[in-house]
Amino acid sequence: MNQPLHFVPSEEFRQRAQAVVENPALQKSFRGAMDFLQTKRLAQFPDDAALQRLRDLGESIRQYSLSKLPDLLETLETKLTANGIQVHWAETPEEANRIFIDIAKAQNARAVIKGKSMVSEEVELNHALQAAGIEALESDMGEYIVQLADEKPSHIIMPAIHKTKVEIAELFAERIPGVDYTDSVDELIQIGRKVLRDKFASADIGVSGVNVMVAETGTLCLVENEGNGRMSTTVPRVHIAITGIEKVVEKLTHVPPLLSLLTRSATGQAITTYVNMISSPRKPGELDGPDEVHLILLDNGRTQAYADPQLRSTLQCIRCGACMNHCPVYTRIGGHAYGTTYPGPIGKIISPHLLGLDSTYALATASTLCGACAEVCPVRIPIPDLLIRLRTEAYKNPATAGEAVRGAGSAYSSVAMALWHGWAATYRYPALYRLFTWCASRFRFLTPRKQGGWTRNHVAMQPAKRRFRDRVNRS
Amino acid sequence: MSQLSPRQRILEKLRAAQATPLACPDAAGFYQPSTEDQATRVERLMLNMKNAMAEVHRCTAADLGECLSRTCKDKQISLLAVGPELLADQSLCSRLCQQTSLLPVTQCRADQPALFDTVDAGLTLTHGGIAETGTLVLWSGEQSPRLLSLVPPIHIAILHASRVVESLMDMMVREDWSAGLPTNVILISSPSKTADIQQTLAYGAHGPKQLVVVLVEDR
Repeated sequence: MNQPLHFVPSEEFRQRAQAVVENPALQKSFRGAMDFLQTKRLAQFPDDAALQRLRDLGESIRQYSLSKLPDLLETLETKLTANGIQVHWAETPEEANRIFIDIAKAQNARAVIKGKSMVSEEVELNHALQAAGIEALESDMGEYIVQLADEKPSHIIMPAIHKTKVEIAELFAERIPGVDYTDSVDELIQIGRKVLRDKFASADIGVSGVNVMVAETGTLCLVENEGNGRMSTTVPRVHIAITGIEKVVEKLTHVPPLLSLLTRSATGQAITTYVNMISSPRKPGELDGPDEVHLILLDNGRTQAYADPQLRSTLQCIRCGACMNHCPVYTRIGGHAYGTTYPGPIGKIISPHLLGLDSTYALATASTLCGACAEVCPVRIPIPDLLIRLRTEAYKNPATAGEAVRGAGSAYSSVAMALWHGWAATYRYPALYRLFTWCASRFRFLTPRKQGGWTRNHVAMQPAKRRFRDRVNRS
Repeated sequence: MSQLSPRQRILEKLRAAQATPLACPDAAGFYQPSTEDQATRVERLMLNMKNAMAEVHRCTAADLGECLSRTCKDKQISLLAVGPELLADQSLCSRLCQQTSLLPVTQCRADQPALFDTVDAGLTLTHGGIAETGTLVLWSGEQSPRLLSLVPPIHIAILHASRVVESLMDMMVREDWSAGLPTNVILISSPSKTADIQQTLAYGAHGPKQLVVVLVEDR
């Protein structure tokens, strides 16, 4: 099997984005998919006033939970432990993968079957397991498709959204032994079902993410449509869940509004096919379910976002993907161009904390600040404000940038800063301004023909022959 | 080098932020109590389930066996998996045995290969139903294995009309779920499905391709 692709730094972000923009097939794929998801979401919220009230509630639940985050995590741990679920903490992806591998080794596990989990993508679990000689197979249909193609998900909810059914048909025929070409979606799904059913029955460990953790009852809530999440968390003898530390709420009653916002915003469903609430491993006398359940709580930069009162709102996210579904930039460049686990608007504001602003600052600049993301966000994350904040952090002088964001000041250029200072001074002192405009019109023949991005679509700019003030004075 | 564990370091960093505590939102109080009568609520549940491609039958408690047998016949079910919760009902089981073979699931994991390979359908009770979203609620336990509603290609669920409530919140609050939950609570609202290939909906992704709800009118 080929090596899985790693997430790539965002340095070549522009080139990757350009390549997608120039690919009509991908343009059509993304446009169609986004229109579909937008229409479905809208149909779930016919009453705008009710939606706004529910968003207020969702926002207040997430903000309240974050305000008590350390306490809630301790309560959660106590409760889960009392229920028989083993809790592990990881500051870095390496630590998280080490925990996985240690559990797998203790079980003599050879094969792991995975339900959908973006956090497991974030730590590149499949790669780490493979390096340790353990087979990791994705079981969500979309994730299975991208794994088969040695690709990465291009959307957090619909991982294979960039692929057409013909591409998937060709992929299945080429990569799955004994499968003939068919482009019937039903047949393709049945092929996937058959392959994966055998794997569920034989896997030693099931892996999943978590949508919401409930502190007061020690419960892990998962939503899904396919049933692979239930399979992964019920059939193998060991279940390992991994999620970010921010995904906890205090009360069970905090779950229904968040679930309702999540599924309606994500895929336009009033509820998903399955909502799975796990509170313990198999108890004595029960006939199925895993004997061991583990939860890995991952930091990976989340504490950095938490430390700053403004950036903390990044952690309100419930990962519905509505921001990317409504983003004019995502719709045109797709998920892979970003080069990060989480694409789209949420990716732009969370990735700097996971990877450092030095390798991700270009993402925050790829936005028109149109505000569509903030308008649809079910928990009211002020995404445009956070984008502006991250831009500011990136362009600060590194000497005085502070420690709010790792990699702050990495876009700083002393030449650019000197130019801006000069520009500001020109406008502050009238004499300097007059001298500047006099020189500009006198030496206008020196204006460069190529003016960066501007002349790609426009005629070159040139100062006027006579300054405006001279024309006014003459008349 | 710091001797702190990752757990201690994470909690320390979070505590250092000194976030201002906020007031706890009253999520339960957000929802208006429903004034609808039970019959209308049950109708709404059935309609929502039908719209989500579930098959819906109704019967009285007395002719439940009859109704289930008919379903088995129509669907050509020759092996039906049943858990302890229904095996206790001898008259029901003997009625079903006239139509189909029963696979009693009573031993831990022993029946797993059969569930994956040979069983045509799994029959379960339900804890209740939710009208708002057209949802079945299943509680796991010694009497109620989790795989019966998941692994066989058809899931047949028995729902008592008196157990239908308005919303998930309603059920949680009324039954005080926060006092303790079973190993697993599952909410089921349609047959297993996916739209992962070109946004085209397909049923029977990994779970049951068909969901049959038998509503028992017990009011």
